[in-house]
Amino acid sequence: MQKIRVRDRDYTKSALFAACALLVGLLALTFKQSTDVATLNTRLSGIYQKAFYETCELMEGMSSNLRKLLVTGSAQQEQMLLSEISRQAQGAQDDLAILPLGENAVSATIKFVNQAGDFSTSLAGRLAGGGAISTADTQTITTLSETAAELSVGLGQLLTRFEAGENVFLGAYEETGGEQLYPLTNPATAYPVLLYDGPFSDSIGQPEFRALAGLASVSQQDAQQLLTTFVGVDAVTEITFDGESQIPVACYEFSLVANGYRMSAGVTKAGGKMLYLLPSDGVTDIRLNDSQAVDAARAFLISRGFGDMKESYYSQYDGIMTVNFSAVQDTVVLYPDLVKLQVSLADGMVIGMEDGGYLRNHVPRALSLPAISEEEALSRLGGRLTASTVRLCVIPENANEYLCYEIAATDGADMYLVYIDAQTGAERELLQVISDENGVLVV
Amino acid sequence: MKKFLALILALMMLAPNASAAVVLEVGSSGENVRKVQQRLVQYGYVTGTPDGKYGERTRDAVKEFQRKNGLLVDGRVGPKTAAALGVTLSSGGSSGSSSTTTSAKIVSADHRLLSKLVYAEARGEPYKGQVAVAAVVLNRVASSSFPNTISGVIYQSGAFSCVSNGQINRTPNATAIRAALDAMNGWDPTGGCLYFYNPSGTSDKWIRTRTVKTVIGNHKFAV
Repeated sequence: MQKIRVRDRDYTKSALFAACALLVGLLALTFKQSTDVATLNTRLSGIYQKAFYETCELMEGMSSNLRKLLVTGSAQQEQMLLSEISRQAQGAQDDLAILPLGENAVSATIKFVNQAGDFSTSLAGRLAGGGAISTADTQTITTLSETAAELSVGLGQLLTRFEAGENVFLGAYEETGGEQLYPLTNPATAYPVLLYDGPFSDSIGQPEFRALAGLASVSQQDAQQLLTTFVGVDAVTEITFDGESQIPVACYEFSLVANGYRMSAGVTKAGGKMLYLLPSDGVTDIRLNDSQAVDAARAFLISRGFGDMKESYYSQYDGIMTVNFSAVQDTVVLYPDLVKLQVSLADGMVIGMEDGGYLRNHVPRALSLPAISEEEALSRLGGRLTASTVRLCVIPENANEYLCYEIAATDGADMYLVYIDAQTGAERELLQVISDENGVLVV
Repeated sequence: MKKFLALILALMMLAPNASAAVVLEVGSSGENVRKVQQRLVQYGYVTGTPDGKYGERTRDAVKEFQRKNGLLVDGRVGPKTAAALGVTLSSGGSSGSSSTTTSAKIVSADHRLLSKLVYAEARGEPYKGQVAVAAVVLNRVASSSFPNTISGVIYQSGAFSCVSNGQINRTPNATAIRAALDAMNGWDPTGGCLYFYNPSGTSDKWIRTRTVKTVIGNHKFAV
C-alpha cells in the first residue's frame, strides 16, 4: 500500500513538472513570436509611413515646381524644373503603389502623377526643340499644380489618422468600392482632360482597327470556314467554337488542331480576319535552320494575301521561331503595320500569328516626299557613329506617324538604329540593338 | 514612343547571353535533361521514366544528389553536378543546328518575374489563359492608371493575391515561361484588358462591375 502511494505521488509529481515545463516553454514561445510579430509590424508600418510622408513631400514639391515653371524666365530653369517634376512624379507613383489602400483607391491618383510626369517630359522635349509654353500649357500647369497641392493635403490627413492608430488601410475604403469614397487620395478638382504628345495623354484612346473599317460582318460558320482555309483545309483535324469576345474588336474564338499542333484563334466579326493564332505547346524536334523558317513564314504571308512583307526581326524559343514582318509601300517600310508569325522549327508550319498592328494601321498611306536628302540625314548622326545602311520608313509615335530615315550605325561593337525625321531632320528615336544568338535583327 | 518600342524592339528584351556553359534548371528540357534523369533513376534518386523535362521532381532529386555528394545544393545541373553524375552536357548549339536541346530560357529579369506571376496566378489554366494573364500585366504597365514597370505592377499593394500569399515565390514551369515571352512579344488574347478574376473565387464586388471582354478558362478578363 505504502509503496504504491509513493509511486503514485512520484508519478503525479513528474506529470505536474512536465506540464509546467511545457507551459513555460509555450509561454516563452508565444512571447517570442509576439515579439517577432511586433517587430515585423513596426518595420512594415515604418515602410508605409515612409511611403506616406514621401508621397506628401513629393506632391508638395511637384505643386511648387509647377508654379515656379509658370514664373521662371530662364530656359535652363525650365528644363531643370521639368526634369525635377518627372522625377517627383515617378517617386510619388512608386510610393502610392506601396500603400495598401487597394489598387482601386489609388488608381486615379496614379493616373494623375503619371500624366503630370509624362506631360513634363513631353513639354521638356517641345521646349528643347525651340517651342514655348502656350496658354493651354499654362492652364494645364496651373491645374496640375493645384491638384498636386490638394492631394498632398488629403494624404497628409490620412497619414495623421494612420499615426493616431486608425486602420485606414482595411476600413471602409476597401469594402465599399466606389472611387468617390476615397476623397483623400483622389484628385478632387476635376482636372481637365489632358491632351499633349505623350503615351499617357487622354487623346490616346483605344486605337481603331482601320483595316477593318467598312468590312461586312461574318457569321460564326463563315468565320470558322475562313479560319480553316487560312490554316489549311487539309491540316485542320479538329475545330471547336469557344465563344465570342471583345478584344477589343468583336471576335469569334476557336480552339483547333492543325498538323498535330493545338492552337487557339481569334477571328474578327468584321471581315472575318485572323486577329491572332496562338500555339499551345512548345516544339522539341528542331529540324529547320533560321533562314528556312523565315522563308516558310514569308511564303505563308504571300499565299495568304499579305503581299511581300519585310522581316525586321526574328527570335526563337522552345522550338518556335517568331518572325516580325512589316508592310512595305513604295519601298518605304511601314513599321506600324506589323505581322508576327510563329513557325514550328520541326516542320516549317505556321502555328502562331499576331497581327493587331496590321489590322489597326494597314491602309494606303499618302507618303509625302522627304524634305531632306539621305546625305543630310546622315550628316545629323552623332559623331561617334558610323552608318552602315539607310532606308526610309514610317514609325509610330504616340498617336502619330512620321516618315523617317532609319540609319543602322555602329559605335565599335555596339549597334544602334537612329531615326531622323525626313521632314524636319530631327532625331526622333535612338535605339540600341541588343541581340544574342537567339534573336537576330534584319536591316 | 512606348508603342514603337513594343512594336519592333522585342530585341531590347534579349539580354546578352553572359555564360556559354550549359546549366539545366526547372523549365529546361531536351536530351541533356533526359541524360541527367537517366542517371538519377539509375542511382535511385528518383523513380520513373525519363521524359526530358526538368520539373520539380527532377529538381528535388538533383538536390538530394547534390546533398549526398557534397555539392552546392541549388537544384540546378551545372558543369560540376553534371561531372559528378557522369553526364556530359552537349551545348545547345547555335540557332538552326540540328540539336534537340531546347531550354526554357529566361531572357531578362522582367521575363523571370512575369513568368513567376503567370505560374502563380494561372498554372492549370489553358495556355491561352496563361498568355492572357501575362498580357494583363503588360497592359497595366502601358496604362496611366497603374505603375509603369512590370515589377511596379506586380508588387503594387493588393494587386495580385499571389504576392500576398507567397505563391509568387514558386519556380515557374516551362509553359509559364513561354507564355510570359509570348505576351512580351505582343500576343494579347485579352485585347487590352486590365483586370482578370475567377468568378467562383472572388468576393470582391467592385471587380464584378468592370466590363468583361472575354472569358478564358476559369478567368474573366475585363477593362
